[in-house]
Amino acid sequence: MSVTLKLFSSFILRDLAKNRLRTFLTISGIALGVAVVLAISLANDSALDKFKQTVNLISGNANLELRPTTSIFIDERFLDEINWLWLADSKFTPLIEDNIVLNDENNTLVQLIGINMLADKEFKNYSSTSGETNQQEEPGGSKVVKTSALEPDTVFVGGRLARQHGWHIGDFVEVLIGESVYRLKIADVLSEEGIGGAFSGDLLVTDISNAQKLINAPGKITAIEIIAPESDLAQISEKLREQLPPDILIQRPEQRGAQVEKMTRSFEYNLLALTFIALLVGMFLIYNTMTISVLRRRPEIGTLRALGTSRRTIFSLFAAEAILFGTIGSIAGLAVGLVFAQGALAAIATTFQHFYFKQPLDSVTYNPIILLLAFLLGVGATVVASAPPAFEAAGIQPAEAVRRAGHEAKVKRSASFLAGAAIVCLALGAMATLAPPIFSFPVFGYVAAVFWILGASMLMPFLLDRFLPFAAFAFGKFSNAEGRIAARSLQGAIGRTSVASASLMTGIAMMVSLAIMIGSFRQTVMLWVEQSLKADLWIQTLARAGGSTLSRISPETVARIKALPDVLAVSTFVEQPITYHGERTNLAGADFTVAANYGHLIFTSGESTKQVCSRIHEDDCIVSETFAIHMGLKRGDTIELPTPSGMFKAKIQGVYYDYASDLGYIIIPKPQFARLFQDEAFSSCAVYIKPNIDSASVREKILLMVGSQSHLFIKTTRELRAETFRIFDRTFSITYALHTIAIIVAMLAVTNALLALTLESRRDFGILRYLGASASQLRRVVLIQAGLLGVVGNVSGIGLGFLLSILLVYVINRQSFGWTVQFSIPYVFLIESSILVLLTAIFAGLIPARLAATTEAPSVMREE
Amino acid sequence: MDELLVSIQSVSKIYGDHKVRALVDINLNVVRGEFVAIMGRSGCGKSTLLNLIGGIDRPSEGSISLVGQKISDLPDEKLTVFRRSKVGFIFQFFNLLNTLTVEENIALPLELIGNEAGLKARVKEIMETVGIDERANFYPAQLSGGEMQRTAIARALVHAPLLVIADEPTGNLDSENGTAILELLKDCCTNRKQTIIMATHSLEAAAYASRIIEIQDGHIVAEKQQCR
Ligand SMILES: Nc1ncnc2c1ncn2[C@@H]1O[C@H](COP(=O)(O)OP(=O)(O)O)[C@@H](O)[C@H]1O
Ligand SMILES: [Mg+2]
Repeated sequence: MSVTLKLFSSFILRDLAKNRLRTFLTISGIALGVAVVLAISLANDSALDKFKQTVNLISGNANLELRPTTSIFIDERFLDEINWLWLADSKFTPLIEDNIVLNDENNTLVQLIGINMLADKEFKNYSSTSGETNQQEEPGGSKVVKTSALEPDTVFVGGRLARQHGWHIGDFVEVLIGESVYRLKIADVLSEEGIGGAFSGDLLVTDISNAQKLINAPGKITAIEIIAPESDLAQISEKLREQLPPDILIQRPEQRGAQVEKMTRSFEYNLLALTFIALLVGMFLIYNTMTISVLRRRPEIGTLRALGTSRRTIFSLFAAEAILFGTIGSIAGLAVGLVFAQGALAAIATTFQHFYFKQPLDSVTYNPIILLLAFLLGVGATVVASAPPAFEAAGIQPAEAVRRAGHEAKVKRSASFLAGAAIVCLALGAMATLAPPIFSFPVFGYVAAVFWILGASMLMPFLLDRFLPFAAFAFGKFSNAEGRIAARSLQGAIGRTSVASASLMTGIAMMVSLAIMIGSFRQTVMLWVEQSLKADLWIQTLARAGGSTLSRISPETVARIKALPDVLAVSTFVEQPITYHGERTNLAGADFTVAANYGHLIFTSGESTKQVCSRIHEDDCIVSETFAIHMGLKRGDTIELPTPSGMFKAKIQGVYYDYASDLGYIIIPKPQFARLFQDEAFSSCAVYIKPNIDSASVREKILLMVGSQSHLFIKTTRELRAETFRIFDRTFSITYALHTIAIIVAMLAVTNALLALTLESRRDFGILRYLGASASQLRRVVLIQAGLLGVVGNVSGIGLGFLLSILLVYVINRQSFGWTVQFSIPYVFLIESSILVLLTAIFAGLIPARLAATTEAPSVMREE
Repeated sequence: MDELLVSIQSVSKIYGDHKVRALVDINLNVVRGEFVAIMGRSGCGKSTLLNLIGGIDRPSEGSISLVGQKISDLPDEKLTVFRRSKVGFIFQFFNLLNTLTVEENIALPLELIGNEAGLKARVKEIMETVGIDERANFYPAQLSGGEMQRTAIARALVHAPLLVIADEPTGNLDSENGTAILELLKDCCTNRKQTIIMATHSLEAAAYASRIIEIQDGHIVAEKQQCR
């Protein structure tokens, strides 16, 4: 044992210390991979964690809740109907949860919570900074609640909100409701304890009756919370199920966390899967370094073997080296990842808030389990990547040691075999693309990606064996000795060159495929926006523009707009989030008669909007592509929606493309919507203006007409398009960041590969010095090698990147989000990135080139 | 009169921090066409001296001239260009580039000089001279020791240098192969007027030389002219 230890310190550690730069680059590769995986995992986890925390704080001790599935509200009268719960030893309380927009500069979106201030403290704990609480018990057991928020138009504000706005007790808050502004008096500021900690303290809390007024929904609530004895829970749920209409969901509060988890799963897992590519490149770096170090040290290993060191000892030496790399790399990765996590959370926060749930996301939760997993993943990946070279080392025969070229000859001989295996891998990958997703997650898409990366890597020796002689020949034609030497020595070291090129290729492929995916997506959205957004003005309330999804424009306002002489037609739209088969989606009502004449939806069947819309009757609907794909539905199928007015069945008359949300849409005729939900108002409307009239001037007229009482937000089509792209770019900001990481990893790969090759070639450089090569000639040899690697890596990386992007666009994205994306190639980007890669490669060659140029011929030859 | 090819004046070489005095106050002149053997035990400073003469390393003190050009204070880039057409090196461990074939190894010096005209023919000719032409497309790993050294000699001679420096060229060969190599070297002297400076610790090898210089601990201790 102590011999192994001694050997480890003299044979492994000393070598690592001697090649400090290479060791550093290798560790950086792993560290970066771990950092990215950790950052994204932590960000995802923090977001969900925050959401669940809030769910817990709001539901308090409730163990059962009643929520609407298809509509937004529950009628208050159900509170009376479930009075029997008291007899069953249970308690219940109403709840209103909505968001509301402040009438401040930024139209800040905050949560509004309406609770029964007199409710049992077991439901809702809160305490305020002024010491008011519902937990005080007066002597004698009777509760005295000093709840000043019971008064009309008063609220409690969350601590964070109060701090941010500098509010104090007695100040007034202005909020936007529907088209109007309300002034609310601050009764008190909540502390972080209890409900005041929900939404990180970004909330307004008031009494149910106040809240009903604020959301303009008299007699309505959004949930009923129940505390029932655990033992009777099943029985009580069953009884409630029998009694209540089908559109009311009966569930445990925790299930809401699970639902959100399901909703954000595609987004999260795909992001995570992308980060694994960074880790994969890190693994290539490790494999590269270890393989080259084993090759370089063949004679020494052979000597150790000849001196009686066992295979097992040799193996454990390299395994220990791998674990060392993995441990240091992963620890460094954790440190960097913690820093990255903050940025990652900021990048995904807007996406989560825009598409999934409103919740301030500003601090990362450092979940120790995720830290541990990331660490283990880093060490594991390193060990896996090091296994082949470690086995290679253990397999070295004592006699074989002197013949170093043996290995390269072997790689050369096996090039065709590897190419064969590569074809098999590529084919397996192609087959995997045909497999369906598992739970909406494109497992096989990623399997295909791994197969293709492996296949392309195994093809490398074969390709290089053809390209490099050609390069040597070409350099010869221009009588460039350095170029010829560079190409030939890469060719001679084809095993090492292949590994280096493969790692570069993978890094570049990641960058290219992401670029193509984002580019295609952007192009698709651009086309969609251009073709479908044809109206001239888009109107919604200021509150809805600020994020209050349920805010409505009144039918009266819409009628007045319609009546304006400049207006040709108004296409109205109303929407609300619903739960369909346990998944979040959106239900909307639209005016299909106007849509038939003016609309420009694009249907998957290729039919015109007019064709589809004119066959829609009251029991029909159209659905977005994302919804159809997620639910496995097609034209002609019927969907059933539980509504407050009973079950509603709608036949799908068409599937249209939509890129606004991956949660999808079901659109039914507006009259039907109004009847089912007793909701006559509108979320938004699109205004078509008569020809030759300036849309900005019509906007002025509308604003003038509705007056300062009505807070509408009107966008011209140009502004709406710009807004769409702002949201698009924000959604993809994390992908852009990963893209940058891919470039950095690719740079690491080039530097590492070149450095290893150069160190490996020190003896050759010494010989060349003796033969009369000048320092500048050696520098050029290395720089040309860098350039050659850059070209090979770039060309193969673009090739593989194309394959992977096809996978991302047609399989992975489609299976997880259900979007059809038109493939489009960002030529400019590809040209720019190619130049960048080449420059990077050559830049990465500078240090090794200097190393080569300063070779002290006699001493390197003595060393060898 | 005989042309002075190498002139070494009061040269000393001290290595690194450990102050190893590898050569002390060496004075030596070599004229064109001479075959000089430098003898001495391992570690006496033979290789150091050859590296200084070949312009691969620089003396700590003193000066060295090659074909009348003082090389000890030429800047590196100039020195390289100067020496690469005038000096050829042969080593004990052959030092072939494993990634290149025999033919490619031999062509290297011409390529580095940038002398492409008639390169193929010149390489072919020299391969025939040393008797390695049948192995032209072999890699070093596929050669025997004798063949490797022949390749190395061909590589040292291909650009017809004035001076050939051989550092224990037979040290790693059996006597039969060794003899053949020494004959080749001697032939360079007599028939091509090339100058050979060879380090060796074998008396048989030294017997081929026209002059023997003996070094002990960095000092020249004896010098003997041989008739041939
Ligand atoms: N680069 C070097 N650094 C330090 N000492 C060296 C170096 N090269 C040679 N020496 C020392 O100089 C002395 C002469 O070495 P060398 O010329 O190689 O001897 P020879 O070739 O006669 O065997 C030896 O003691 C050797 O250890
Ligand atoms: Mg020596």
